Amino acid sequence: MSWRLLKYALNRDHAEPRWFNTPTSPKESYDVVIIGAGGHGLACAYYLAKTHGITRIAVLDKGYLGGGNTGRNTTIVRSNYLTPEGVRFYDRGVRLFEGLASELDINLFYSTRGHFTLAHNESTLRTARWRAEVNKHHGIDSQLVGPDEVKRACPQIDLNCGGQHAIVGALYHAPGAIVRHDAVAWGYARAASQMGVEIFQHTEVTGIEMANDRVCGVRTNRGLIKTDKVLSAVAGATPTTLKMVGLKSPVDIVPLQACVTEPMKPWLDPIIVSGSLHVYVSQSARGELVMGAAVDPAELHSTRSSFEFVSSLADQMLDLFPFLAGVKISRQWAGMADMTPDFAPVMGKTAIAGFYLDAGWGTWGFKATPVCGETMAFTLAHDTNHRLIEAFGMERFERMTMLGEKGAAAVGH
Amino acid sequence: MKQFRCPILGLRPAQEFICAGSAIEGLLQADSAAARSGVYFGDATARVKREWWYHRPSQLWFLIERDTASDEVMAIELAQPVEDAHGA
Repeated sequence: MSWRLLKYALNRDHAEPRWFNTPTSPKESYDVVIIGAGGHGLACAYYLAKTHGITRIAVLDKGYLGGGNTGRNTTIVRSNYLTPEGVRFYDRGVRLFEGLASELDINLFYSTRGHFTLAHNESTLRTARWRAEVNKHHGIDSQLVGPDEVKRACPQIDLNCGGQHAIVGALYHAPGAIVRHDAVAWGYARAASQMGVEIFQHTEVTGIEMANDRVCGVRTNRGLIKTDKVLSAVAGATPTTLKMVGLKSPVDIVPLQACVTEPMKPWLDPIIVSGSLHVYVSQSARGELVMGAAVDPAELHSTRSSFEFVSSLADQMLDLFPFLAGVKISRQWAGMADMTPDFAPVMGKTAIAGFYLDAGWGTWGFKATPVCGETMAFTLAHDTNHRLIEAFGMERFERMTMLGEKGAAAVGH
Repeated sequence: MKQFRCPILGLRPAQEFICAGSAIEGLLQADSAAARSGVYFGDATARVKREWWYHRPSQLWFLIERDTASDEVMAIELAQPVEDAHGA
């Protein structure tokens, strides 16, 4: 044992402070209460404090920090969406992500890899071309490439996919990246905490108090907290908070599963996605292949894992990479996804004054963590939807002004 | 492996079925505003709900009552008689 470590262990004054404050109990009231201490909720708290000077904030979570979908996603960041509204929004997200490690002074292991969305037939190629054109129009690095370029970036791929569904091209998005997802939540939590934000883990919201159609507090398992602004940032449990304020839900909960292989030496540089085969894969800094597929077939409020998922994913993955046949799956897990009918999020003000929503994050929420924090902080501070989220309001399902992000949001929906 | 106990086919693997969404009462009779509200908005908390499921091999439609917290199927019935479904 080194002297330095021994001295550190025996010393009562540790130079490195705790990352998050652990206040004993909530105060009687806060300016803002955020439900959900995941990446989104913590990012909103951070930007509220940093940009808008609002620091009397409590962030509540019924579980532990970053233990929901922040810690369950497959960590991909990209902006090659299909609708102009989506592209502009996610582009801001990627830009914030690129500077985030220095802003939060934490190593996020942000790794720009390049992102291929494979096309195995003409119709997928058509959507890829459409996405590339929309992306270019908004200044996003996105282009259609042929099978040769896919092979050059990833020599291990079987372009014939076992003879069943040969790769005919791909949408290539150079800024596509992977990030250490837990660190994003920790970084935001630490920075928000340093500015006075209070984070309460294992604190469950059981109801939202209202008077004259306005929010006036939240009931929790640790008592009543008064506030006139509540943000629900609880992807996977949004219908429950909506019910607390008497709103019907446009969001259905569907499990999304993922798994990793045992670690391997680095061989896969880019992120590979195949909508037709319903799979996507990247290799983490630890060497594990991080793999996912489409959401489960039906609504379910559960994070159970299924054998059906992993067997069908392995079947499709072997069409792309036959040499993986001997590699073992070491872990699998699931998150509960807030699925919306048009595969775009539901954000902003609601019909209830003081109740704000950051929801509908389906299978596309992690990459939006910083931009959601930034835009929701603006929305709460000014009680006006940020211009980047104007199209994402819940009223679009009444007005039939849906966004149609299905072709770009995820695989195989 | 998850299975459904089909009233005429016995136990079948769940992968043979496709979930086609909630069975919404009175949808065909509703005016457009009510239909829109029924399709896009509802109670989506964990509950027992009725859903349409399609069985691919037999090309039959079923109405299934399912608990969305436990995934337990409480009831399963044919949506229409087999003769009608197959045009016999």
